[in-house]
Amino acid sequence: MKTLRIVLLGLALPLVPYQLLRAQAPAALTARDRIEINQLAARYAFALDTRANDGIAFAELFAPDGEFVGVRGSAKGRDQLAELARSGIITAKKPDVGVSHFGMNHVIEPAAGGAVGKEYLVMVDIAEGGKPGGDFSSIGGHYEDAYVKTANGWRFKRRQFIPMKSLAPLPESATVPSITRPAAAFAPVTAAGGGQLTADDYLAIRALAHTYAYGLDTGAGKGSLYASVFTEDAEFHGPPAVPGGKPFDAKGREALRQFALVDRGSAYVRHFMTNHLIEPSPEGARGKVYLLVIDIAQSNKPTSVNMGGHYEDVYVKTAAGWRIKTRHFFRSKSAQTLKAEADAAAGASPAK
Amino acid sequence: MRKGLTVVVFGVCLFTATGGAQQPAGGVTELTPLDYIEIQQLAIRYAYGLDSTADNGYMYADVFTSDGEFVGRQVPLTQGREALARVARSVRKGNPMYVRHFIANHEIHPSPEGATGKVYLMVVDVEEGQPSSIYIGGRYEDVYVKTPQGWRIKRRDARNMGTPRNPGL
Repeated sequence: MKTLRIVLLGLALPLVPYQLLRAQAPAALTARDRIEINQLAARYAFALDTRANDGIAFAELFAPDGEFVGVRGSAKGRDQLAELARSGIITAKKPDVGVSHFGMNHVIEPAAGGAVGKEYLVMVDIAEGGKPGGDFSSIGGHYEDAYVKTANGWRFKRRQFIPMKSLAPLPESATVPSITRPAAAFAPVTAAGGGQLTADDYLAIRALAHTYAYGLDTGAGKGSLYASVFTEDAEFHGPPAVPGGKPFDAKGREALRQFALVDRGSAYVRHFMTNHLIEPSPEGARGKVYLLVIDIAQSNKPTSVNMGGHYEDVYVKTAAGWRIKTRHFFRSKSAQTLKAEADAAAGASPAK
Repeated sequence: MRKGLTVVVFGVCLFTATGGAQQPAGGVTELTPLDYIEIQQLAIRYAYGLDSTADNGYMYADVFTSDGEFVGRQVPLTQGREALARVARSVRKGNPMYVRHFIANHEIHPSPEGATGKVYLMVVDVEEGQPSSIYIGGRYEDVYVKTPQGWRIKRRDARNMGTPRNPGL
């Protein structure tokens, strides 16, 4: 067995490769390219968590000269990558149920030589040591990737893990407003005159939700990245984020941009999106997407879930591509909580 | 009655992790990008169907084929539309505002039946005003078939799960 070359790295890793590739002349990506890259990222988690095929499954996700760069070390080439997977990137212990790396918010862009991408990561300890349930680990952040198309399909040219870090003070409470009116029961809208969506449509709409998270978390471009996923006249409604606060009723890109003004840096991750359900509609498309606001461990505070819920969206196809026309956020509430709220509201109503 | 014992072997044959791209073998039709997306949407609809209990549980049941089956570590095999709808209806907390099943890392491969897949799951109890916790986590292993109504789950195996934090739904 070859000895893995471990290179100690500081937390402030250079982001040059990702940014450099992204800035160079990009080639277009087909829907199949994007799907295959998305599948590559999914296989990464399985290969790492199961350590399948003695680490070879993980190594084969990379190009022959592919490289993984982590906080504690790096590995390049098939042998080193396989050894890295065998020995475990974070811990030598294999996850008990073979599940730990949850990747979300995967964005993919064409770039010189192939493509680049980013993906959020939160690690979860599931039933470790026979303990019921699971716990979020202290590990979270995002990957910055370069992909290359080889004779065997898309592969990682480089994958670098960037641990969560905020340049600005962390928020104490939820940053996403919630609304308390009942969410709509999901009903297919195709019968109402919606057309068909192509694979490219689905992928573009999915990317909106992910870019939304990157824009909100990083504050990139003084909120302009966040605002860019909306139409010029988009609406995002809701009651106060905190009890007694001002009702939330933003309309227009400029008003929305105000929500993402804080520059937390590119390493800050908090809004984890998944379960993006998309259907054609008369407007273009409608969708729902789950959200977990996860505060990754920092300053001796363990990782915790700040809040969870779902968005309900209307998307339209503009000259610049798909955009969010309306977005509502709903915090998760059980049927029992809704009934208790309804009963309390009825009790509080003045007698007629 | 349990049908199709042949699907049991899929876990051994098709989920041998190779890491590399799965080249379609003889008798296996390549999946189109839209096939991948529709299968991903199917798995997502599963989560909404279970959490919302929409359409009296049939939104959940209808992500399966009419003879589709779900087998889990904690639950007996459930097969058929009515039995599956009852499972969704039994989620006492379910409603359109309830979110609990978060899925990620959906890996899909073409197969002789249509497609197979595996997907991570974490069931998170997260409700306003209450502490959050992970109820259970693990992964599903699936067999998908394309029906006249679109892609459906033929079999979902949830035996690769941890132990739930507390019993019950």
